[in-house]
Amino acid sequence: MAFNEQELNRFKRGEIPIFEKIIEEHKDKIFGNVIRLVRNEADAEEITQIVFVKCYTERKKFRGDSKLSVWLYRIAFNEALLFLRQNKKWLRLEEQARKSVPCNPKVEQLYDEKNKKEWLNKALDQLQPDEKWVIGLFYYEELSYQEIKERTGLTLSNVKIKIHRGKKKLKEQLIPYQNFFYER
Amino acid sequence: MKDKMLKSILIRFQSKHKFPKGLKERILQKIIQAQYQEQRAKQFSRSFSSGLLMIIYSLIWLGICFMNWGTFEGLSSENWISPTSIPMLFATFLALLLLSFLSPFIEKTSAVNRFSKA
Repeated sequence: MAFNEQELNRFKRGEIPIFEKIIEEHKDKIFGNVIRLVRNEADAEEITQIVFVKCYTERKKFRGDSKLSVWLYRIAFNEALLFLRQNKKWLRLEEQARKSVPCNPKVEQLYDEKNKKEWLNKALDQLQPDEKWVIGLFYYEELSYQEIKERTGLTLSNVKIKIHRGKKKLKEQLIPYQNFFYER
Repeated sequence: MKDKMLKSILIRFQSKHKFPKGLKERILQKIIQAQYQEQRAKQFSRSFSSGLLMIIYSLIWLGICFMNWGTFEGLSSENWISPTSIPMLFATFLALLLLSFLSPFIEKTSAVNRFSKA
């Protein structure tokens, strides 16, 4: 969403209809990214609310020289990480993932579609929160390194490192099951 | 495992979530609340500056009083309770000052209650 001057003024004045439009336009992507990170609908709802309310309260800081979506993503990235850090939820997620990774899954389990999704989620939960977020932007939203850099506020080299590490960890987790993902 | 395969696994087996119903309305309600609080804060800062102005006035007023100490009758100990005595005038002034500071809070609380009921 690129603002014209009139819309930018309305945004800065805090007019509700323009915020309604912003929420409508970005809600799915922001919520999708957040829930992918926290894997809990209640937490994702809370973070999404925080993101949009912050967009309102911090609106005067938005200069309008970048896209609003870039700014929103950055808020979402920071708020989601802050939420996890404050609530120490990440540690719990990581621990759960480590405990629940099956050591010797049964053959039937290997072909079950639901289980495959579960393995993938568990493998993703083994990543650090920022790695998981960056991997999501890279694979699911197909953003370039530069775009991810803008949307997270990380440096370009940091983005590259996080994607590289994330890929490596995911591959390590998924290699034992890779043949089952595409059979049957 | 190749990058391409990882990508296809990630995309094909990703969990899909729909944006919850009613969340948009809840967000909008929170934004309206934030807008309301912002307006109250502005009003409060205006009241605060007017309160500050009153303090400056009172200091000037007290200065004048002390310079003309002898002209006030209320200074004698038996008349201190008289409404025109300096301690009484000062107490009335302090009460008014306190009220001017508290009024934004009182109004804010009652308005927030009205808002939440609505």
